[in-house]
Amino acid sequence: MSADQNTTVHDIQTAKSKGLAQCHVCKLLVRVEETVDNYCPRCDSKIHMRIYDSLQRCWALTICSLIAFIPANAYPIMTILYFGKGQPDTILSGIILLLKLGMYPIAAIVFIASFVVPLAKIIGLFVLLVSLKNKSKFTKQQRTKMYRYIELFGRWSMLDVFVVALLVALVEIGAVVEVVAGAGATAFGLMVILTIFAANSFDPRLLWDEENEEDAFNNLTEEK
Amino acid sequence: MNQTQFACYECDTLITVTSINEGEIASCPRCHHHILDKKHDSINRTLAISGTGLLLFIPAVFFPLMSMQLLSVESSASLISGIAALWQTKLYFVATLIFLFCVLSPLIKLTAAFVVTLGFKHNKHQHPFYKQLLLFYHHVDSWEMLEVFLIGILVSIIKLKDMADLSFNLGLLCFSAFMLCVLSLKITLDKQMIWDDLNYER
Repeated sequence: MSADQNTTVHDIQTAKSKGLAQCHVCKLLVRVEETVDNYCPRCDSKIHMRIYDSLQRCWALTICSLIAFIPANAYPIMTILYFGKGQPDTILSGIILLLKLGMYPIAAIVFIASFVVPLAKIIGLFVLLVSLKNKSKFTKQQRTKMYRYIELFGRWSMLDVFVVALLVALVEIGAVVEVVAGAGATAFGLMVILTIFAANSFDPRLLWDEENEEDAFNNLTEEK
Repeated sequence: MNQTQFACYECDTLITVTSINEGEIASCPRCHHHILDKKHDSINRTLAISGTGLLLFIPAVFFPLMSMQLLSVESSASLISGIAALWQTKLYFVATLIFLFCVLSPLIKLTAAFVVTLGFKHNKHQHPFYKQLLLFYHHVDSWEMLEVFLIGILVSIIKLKDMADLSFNLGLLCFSAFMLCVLSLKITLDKQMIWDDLNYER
């Protein structure tokens, strides 16, 4: 609503400026000390003002997932053998095969889920991380939205691994056709969980902190 | 206790939420992240849905989802046989991942939701055991990938359809229903209400 956007920034108070932090699990607002470990009195989970070492962890995990992305696409994810013959398929060659067979919608789903989503996720995390160090042309709202989508769509990259599991199980007995899973599947699974961990370790509140501190400063100077 | 203060998880804004009605959502004025929502008849609905889901668990996981016939050789695949097949081809890591994402975490979610809402109904949920279950639910929540698996089934069907005769089994129906139950928990289970109801010493 336009009324929302017109709310002056000075009206906004953050939990941090009041020395409060919210329990991530049960949403209880708790007064915390920044230097010690704090635990939620209601659900006993750890509470932090901001995720501890968020940026370091997120950088490390994002770089790891980028590295895992290479074998995940370079190694074959499975081989379909007709009468003992067959070529190993990587994710991309599997998609090209689907295209050649004229199954465009399915090819699109697999392409988006197993290539575009993980890549976009890794690039998105890099953009978020870099934007915290440099001035970014994306607004905070846009970047928050970006983070939301990264969290939301990450799980869909497991799609191809599930397909491999089903095909391996289904075609296992047949002597004529056989499906063998490849090393790419392991790299792929690894990449997916690394990107999920990376997204979880990113603290979206860091995006707003700069503005929060400016507000606090403005409020102070105004009061004087 | 009608007025509660929350901090937005995404931008840390402090927000005072005055009582909201069932079906309403409170969102952050600055980043529009959903802060709080109140669900319709949460306890009864969750109890019914998680109970149904638990009943469907065994057929969904162990019954064959589809079978394939090729030159009079027939083979079928269930969720668990897919995991077993991967395990046999020495892809232990991938097999474990699928087991965690598609078998263990939905099971934990359903069990936790069922037991907690049952406890709530009988007013026993103050016991620390229920708190632990709710925590389990929270941690497992983002790792459950049944809907992705269902699309995986679809993709497998299309990949195989030229190669052999495919037929669908009861397992597929049970699996779809099971997935719907697990997904519905997101709509019905009001974790916040249960947390807010727990007593703790300030």
